[in-house]
Amino acid sequence: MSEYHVASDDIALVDLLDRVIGEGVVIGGDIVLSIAGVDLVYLGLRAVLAPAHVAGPSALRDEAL
Amino acid sequence: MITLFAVTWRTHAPTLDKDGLAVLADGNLAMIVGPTPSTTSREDALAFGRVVERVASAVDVLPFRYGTTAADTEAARELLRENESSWAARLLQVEGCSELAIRAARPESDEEPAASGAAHLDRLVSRSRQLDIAEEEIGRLLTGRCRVVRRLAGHQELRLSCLVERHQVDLLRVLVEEWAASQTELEVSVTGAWATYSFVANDEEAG
Repeated sequence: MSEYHVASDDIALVDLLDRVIGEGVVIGGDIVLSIAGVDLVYLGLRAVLAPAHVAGPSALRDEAL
Repeated sequence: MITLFAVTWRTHAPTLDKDGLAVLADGNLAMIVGPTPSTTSREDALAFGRVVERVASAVDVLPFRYGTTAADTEAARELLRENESSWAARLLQVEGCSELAIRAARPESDEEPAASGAAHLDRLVSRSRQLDIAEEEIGRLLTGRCRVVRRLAGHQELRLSCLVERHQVDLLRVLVEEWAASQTELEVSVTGAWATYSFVANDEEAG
């Protein structure tokens, strides 16, 4: 992570995971993560790191569909 | 099978000599690749992100979404060849930039349960307006200082991703945090600078 992080570590981890899982370059047909796999990653994140209002709905799952 | 981490300019490709990472070059571009873990977990995703952040701290990159793989190094090189013009154009769009993430939300623990369905709906509308106002106010801070601002999907929270030239990152953080200090009902966070994840999607996917 960069030197600029000043928010709480948990929020920073949530923001990094949001980007790693839900953003970035996609190559059609080459995403290997299963939908269930994404759910496990994201729900695990919610349970461990994020209060509900931070984690929000899983738009990530919608994208994965 | 190999995991694809990011694309960068061939001339700026970093030297990577640990964790099984390698740099594949073809044409003007280079791709950072590495072994694919046998598991999918939060820790694996974070490890992926940390590799990308390490590279992005030194050079402009197009990060791949976690889970993107190629069959082998030759397949990865083929992807570089096939996408060279598109990826080069996107690298130019994020040249010299990082991404800041801004969140604003009202703490749920602040409020008693709504007395009725109508009261609940009123509360949702009020929160939505509050976030729209916050977006406008933050937008005024960002005007002229961000190349692009994207509002990401959020459940009763404002999520903004800002494409910021690196020399503006600290200033913008200070401005937003000063604004946040004046907010009595919203919790606000600013994180980054991140690799430009939110600004490199395929054109047809960009929101």
